[in-house]
This record gives sequence, C-alpha cells and structure tokens, in this order.
Amino acid sequence: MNLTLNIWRQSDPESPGNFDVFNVSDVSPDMSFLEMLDVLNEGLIVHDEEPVAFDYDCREGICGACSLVINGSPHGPQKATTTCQLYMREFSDGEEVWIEPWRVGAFPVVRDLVVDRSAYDRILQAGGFVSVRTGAAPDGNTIPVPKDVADRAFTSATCIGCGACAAACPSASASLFVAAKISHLGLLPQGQTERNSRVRMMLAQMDKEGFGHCSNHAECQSACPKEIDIGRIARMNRDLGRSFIRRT
Amino acid sequence: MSKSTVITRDTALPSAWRYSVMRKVFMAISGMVLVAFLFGHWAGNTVLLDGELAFNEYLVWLQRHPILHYGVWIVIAMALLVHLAVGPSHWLKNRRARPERYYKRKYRATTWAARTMMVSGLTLLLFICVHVAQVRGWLVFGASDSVFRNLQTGFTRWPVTTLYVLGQVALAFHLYHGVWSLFQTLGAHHPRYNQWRRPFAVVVGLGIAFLNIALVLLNIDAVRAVLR
Repeated sequence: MNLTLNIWRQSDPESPGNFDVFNVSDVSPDMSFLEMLDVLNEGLIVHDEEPVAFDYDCREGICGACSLVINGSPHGPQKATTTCQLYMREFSDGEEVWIEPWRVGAFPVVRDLVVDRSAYDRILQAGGFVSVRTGAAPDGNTIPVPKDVADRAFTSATCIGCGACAAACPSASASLFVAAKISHLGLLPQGQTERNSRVRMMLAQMDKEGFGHCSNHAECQSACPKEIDIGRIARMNRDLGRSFIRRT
Repeated sequence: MSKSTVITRDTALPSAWRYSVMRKVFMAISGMVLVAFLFGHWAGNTVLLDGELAFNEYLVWLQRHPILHYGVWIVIAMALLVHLAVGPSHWLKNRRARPERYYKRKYRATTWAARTMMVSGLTLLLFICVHVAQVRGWLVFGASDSVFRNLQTGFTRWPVTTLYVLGQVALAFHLYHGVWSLFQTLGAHHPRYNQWRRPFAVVVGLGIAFLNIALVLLNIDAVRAVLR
C-alpha cells in the first residue's frame, strides 16, 4: 500500500516547526506503524537526508516510550493500543496520514516528534513512591488485601506513563497519569502511611509543571493505551479532600 | 525555584485554594448552590401567575424575613464570585498549557457543551446582569418601582426576550456539562450510579430552562389569551 505522510519537523525546541510531506510506497499491512517510519528513515538516510526523529523503546506496548498523535488521536485510531502495536492494516491504500508530536506545554518538543516527558518523572519524584522498607516479597496472604481492591490497584499500576492522557486532554492536564499513580500506591496497605502527603505533593508538582486543569472532558480515558478510567481521577479528588480532613 | 525542581515536603502547599483540584471542588460546590437557588427562584416566581397584588405580597413577605432575603443574596453572590474566580482563570491556564495547537484533532469523548463552558458561562453572566437590571428597573425603558411591571414591560421588548431565551439555552448547555462534571470533581464515581449522572444532568439542565421559559411565556398576556 502507498501512503502520503504529513510529518511534523522541528529542528530544536526553540525554532518553529512545520509539516513535511513524504510519499511512502510498498508498505506492508503487517508492518507496525514504527516499522513503517523505520522504512521511511532508511530511504531518507540513503538519499543523505535528515531522518525523522521519533521515540521508541520496547516495541511491545509496555514501556511507554512511543508517542505520536496520528490523524488527531494520540497513539493513533485504534483503542487501547500504543503506537508500536498499531499495524498498517488499520490504514487504507492511498490514505493521507498526519503525524504530530504530543502537544503539551509541559512536554517541550526536543526534535521532530520527540518530546521531553521528564515533567512526569518529577511528579513521581515528588510523591509517587513508598518510602517504608517493605523487605523481600512476603508470604502469600500475610497482609490481606480484598480482591477487588487489589484489582483496582493493579489496573492503576498498568499506567506506562506515556503521556497520551495529557496529549489527548483538551486542557493538556496530567490528571489521569497522576491519579493512576495515586490509586496504584494509595489502595494498598504499604501506601497508607504517605497517603496524604503523596496526593498533595504530586498535585502541587503537577500544577507547578504547567499542565492544564482537569475539565472532565474524559478524552484521557479513551486515549489511554491501558484503558485506565476517570474513576481514578474521582478517587484522587476524594483523596485530596480527605487530606484536609484526616491526618492519616 | 527553577521549573525543573521537585517539590519537597517543606514547600508543599498549605492552603486548599492553591491546589487546582480543590479550586475545582469549590467551583463544583458553588455550582450546586447556584442550581439549588435556581429551583427556589423559580418556585417563588410562580406567584407571578396570580397577578401583581399577590406578587407584591410575596415580595413584602421576603423582605420581612431578612435571613431569607439577604441570606440568600449573600450566599449566591459568594457562589457566583467563586465560580468567576475559578472558571476564567482555569480556562486561561488551560489555553496556555497547550501553546501550539494540534493541526488535526479528533475528539472521542468530550461534548460540545464541555468545550464551550466559557461561552455559555459568559452568556449567563450577561443574562444575569440584564435580568437584574430589568427587575430593579435600571433598564432605560419602562422603569418603575414595581418589579412586576418592570418584568411585564421588559418582556414586551424583543432584545430582552431574546436575551432571556438565549440565557436559558446557555443555562441548559452549561448544566449539561456542569452537573455531570460536579459528580466527577467531587469524587462521586461508582459503577452502580455512573449511568445516572448524565440523565440527571440532562433533566436538571433542560428542566430548569424549560420551567423558566414556560413561566415567562405564561406571563405574556397574548400567550395567556391563546391558552384560554
């Protein structure tokens, strides 16, 4: 299949960017989206042109490194899928594809489609941890955790921190990411001691990084490759309110 | 403090207002107060249908109960102030949080009402100003001491009636998102009840707009003549 690609090019964070048009031919429907870009870049390198910079790491949908807003949707048109797990069979022959970086002020563009997501790392450093020593893995059932609570903590923990939630949010808010991390730790017994300070520190850091404020558009949960839902955000709001009422 | 630093326990914010999430919570609570007022306001105004004498009696009764009269006035003024303090500033920050817009954008979940909260909100603010001016007799035409007659003469002018209907449409849209959104902001999220949040917002939003428009229409003599 043949495709027309409109790709955002930007040489550094300060200079303005623009779309470059590329025509790629003989794309196999079984290629992943990133493999298609690899083929494009090989061609560019052969012709002594600058290849398109984009982020990737595991290519298994579990690391959160790949990004790309494809035809207006973070991680492309398929639900619950990272860009690396998106296959070209989702596109039709002759289609025009628009590829942009995450457009979030707190994620400055480094080059082309690569953005700096260290704002998420700093939010985690502010409070996304448990500092009590938990030792080696305990024997099963020594600390009883109800099954549904464990499940909710686990689904929250599936967040890979890719940034699609902030990229999809009309307000460029990081709420779903922060909320997932807070639920992941705050639902389990080990996370209780720092429950109040965690929600406060992480939210204070989120505001400081210059993300927007959640306006309940719910775009984040439909863009999330791990399908984390906005119920986490409701829980985060409850947790913050609770921190003003209860000491621990 | 440079942008790349991480907040430590010593610098964590002490006051609730400094957290964007808490500001949004205050906005949700003030919204609840305002919606509750709208229903009380409508219920009181049904006295309009009994004519000028009955309505004036209702106004005297309100004034004889200063807690009801000034208490309500102070509470809704505060709720409006909170709404105005949070809404526009958050809207501005949200715009600044995405300096470069997407060239292609596909929405999957958000609604038109949610994306135009600022437009519907400002329309409502303009409507409230004109509405108070109309009732108090501050509008240039047909001003008198009688609230009842100020209302009657106001609605014979098309700009006043048009803005009234526009205000009610804006209200319906504002509440379509606002009422749904306040559950989420206040943390009321439960698999068993989530399905009722949207229908509740629709009923409240459309309901209050419909009740208000119906009351105004029933007060226009021509409409009453037709109904008779």
